[in-house]
Amino acid sequence: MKPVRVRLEPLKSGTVVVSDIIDPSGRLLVKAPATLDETLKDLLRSHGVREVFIEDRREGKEKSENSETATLEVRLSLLERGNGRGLDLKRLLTETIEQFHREKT
Amino acid sequence: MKMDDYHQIFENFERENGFSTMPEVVSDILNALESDRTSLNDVAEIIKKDPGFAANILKYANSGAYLLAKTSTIEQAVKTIGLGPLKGLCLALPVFTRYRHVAGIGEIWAHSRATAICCQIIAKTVGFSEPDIAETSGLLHDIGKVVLAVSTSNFFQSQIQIADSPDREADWRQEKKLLGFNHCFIGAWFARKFRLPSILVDGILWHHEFEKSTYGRDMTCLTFIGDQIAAAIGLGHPDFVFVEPEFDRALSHMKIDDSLLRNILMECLRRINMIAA
Repeated sequence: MKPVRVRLEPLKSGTVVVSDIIDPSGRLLVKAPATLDETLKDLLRSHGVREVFIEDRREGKEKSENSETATLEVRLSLLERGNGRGLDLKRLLTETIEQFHREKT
Repeated sequence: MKMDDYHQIFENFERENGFSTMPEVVSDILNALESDRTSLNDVAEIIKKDPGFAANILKYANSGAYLLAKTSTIEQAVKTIGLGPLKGLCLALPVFTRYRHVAGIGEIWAHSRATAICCQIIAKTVGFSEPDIAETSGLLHDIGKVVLAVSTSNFFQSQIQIADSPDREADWRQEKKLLGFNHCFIGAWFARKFRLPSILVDGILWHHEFEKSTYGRDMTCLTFIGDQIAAAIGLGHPDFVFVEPEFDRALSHMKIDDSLLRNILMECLRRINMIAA
């Protein structure tokens, strides 16, 4: 997998940083690989680090129909947060998409 | 980021051969389409002057996006696509082709094509009077993301990395928060620059906030529904994979009940599957 530079802020705890982290003045702060947690993020923020390198999660992700079906649950997960019939809507979309793939095979 | 940075982003994009340097054939087509007297054959003749562009138009017409027999001539392709959507295609094709190697652009193009098909199907199902406009809106609604992917690549790549994180905000909200503007705003700028009709500018500008549309709330809402169905099917945005909770409200606005939604979704799946095949 190739490393990709991303913003530090939205990264979740547990994300592995794959390149040494250097502060803006060139001082080594953390050797790679390092696993992010809130303490480390605070430390990096306080040293002016805004971006780090992680593994590109897109690498190796297949765009096959199977993987699309597998991630259907994730794609529809925010519907539950809406007011009204979010859950029913999620169920309807899931059933219809799964029915289509069943009929196709 | 401030509005000055926004101008800087456009300048960077234009410097990298952005929207201003469209191929001559596209300028000629856009000029021809300004006239009411331009016929399908006139446009076909212009397209034929650029073999590369002509090949792309033929490829698109035969991609499965249209439920017609195979088209083998430019005249047939223009007729199949229609003059309305053709204008949108003329604007989108060169931009997506030029930046096809930039990470995320391939997915945005796939999503845009899928959304165009979904919008066309929804428009016809609900009896919307201008399905061609809806299709064009679907094709161009995320054109602003191309600018973000090219000109703010660090930001855009960061967004891609957290595309399926349920704790994050929606792409358009996050862009607004972190950049001061979003892909809808950039897309609307693009639409105005090429003098697209106000209803299309609205469709691009407000496709995530259809209630704010002035010139075509139904069409804008329809674009959002098409966008969300494409995401549900798995041809979503590279930087945000989710169907938004507002989808429900949009369906209610267009009076699309469960039965109608099921039919629309099935047809979208069939047609989009034809493209993928």
